[in-house]
Amino acid sequence: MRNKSFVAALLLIVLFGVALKVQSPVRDGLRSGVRSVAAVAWVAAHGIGDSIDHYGGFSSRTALAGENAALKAEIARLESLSLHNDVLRSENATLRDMFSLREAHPEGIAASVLSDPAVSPYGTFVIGSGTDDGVVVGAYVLSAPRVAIGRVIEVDAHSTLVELFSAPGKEIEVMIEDVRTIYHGRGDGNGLVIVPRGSQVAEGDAAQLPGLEFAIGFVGYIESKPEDAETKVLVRVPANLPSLSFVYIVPGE
Amino acid sequence: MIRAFIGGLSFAGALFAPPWLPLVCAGVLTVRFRAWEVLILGALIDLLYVPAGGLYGIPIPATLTAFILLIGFEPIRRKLLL
Repeated sequence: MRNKSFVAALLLIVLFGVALKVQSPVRDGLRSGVRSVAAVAWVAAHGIGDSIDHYGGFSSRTALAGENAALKAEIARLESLSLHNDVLRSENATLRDMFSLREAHPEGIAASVLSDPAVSPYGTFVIGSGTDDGVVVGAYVLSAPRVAIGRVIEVDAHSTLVELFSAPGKEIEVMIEDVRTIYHGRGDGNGLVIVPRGSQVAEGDAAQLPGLEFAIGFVGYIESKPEDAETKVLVRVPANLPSLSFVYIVPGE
Repeated sequence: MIRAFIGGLSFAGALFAPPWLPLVCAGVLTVRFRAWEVLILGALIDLLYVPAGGLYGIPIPATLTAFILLIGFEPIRRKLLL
């Protein structure tokens, strides 16, 4: 009986695997539907987070509870104003970044990040724009002017799945200075590049997509041993991925 | 009750937490219970996040991990439940 249950489950899993592997309207509809439901939860969670930020957070409320009663209201008001100011400043910085992106790439669009890139085990995340907003498969996803963090791999009407260049197992050709090599994604915004020993690569150099103006990361650390013929170069995405709230989508070639 | 709590935590973790949280929850659930819901959890993670090409060519890594946990912990679960 137990074995029958497991065999039945295995059969269902195989069917599920085949259904996800083969592109079909059923698969696209299923994924789109699940993402739409998840998007409701993500948007709600963002709203709750913003409210907590706006009204002062749990820790400051707890601290204020012990304060003198006469000062409590005044401190709360001032802290609230201060935090509100921080929120506005952060929003202002984001909008300024978006504006500079808009100037650099007038053909692109800004999109909100729905799922935290650190949540997916596959180096992917979901954004809240889709075909209705002009997003197409293959478009580059920018976090700052001339800094691409990934590409669009799936689009439906209102949401889009983005794959980071640093996704585990992802390989992509890059140029570091005049060295053309392969970038191997390692997850969490990190990647590894192997270059011949003696290559003119220095910390801070940009890893650029060949023929494009986009950098996908910067050299963070160089590991070179005299006995090795090659040098390991660790490349890091110049963005704090978990804190991304907006990205900019630029159509690819 | 515990099962519902951990199950809820794992599904919330799939949406909001790093991948280790749903993995740990799935491990705890499958050690203690024959928790078929971990298959749904795996399917949810795959539907939400897996790229079309899968991970290293595997189209449903999270669902398969859930299934392996489910059958892998079956012997220890039998001993625990006896």
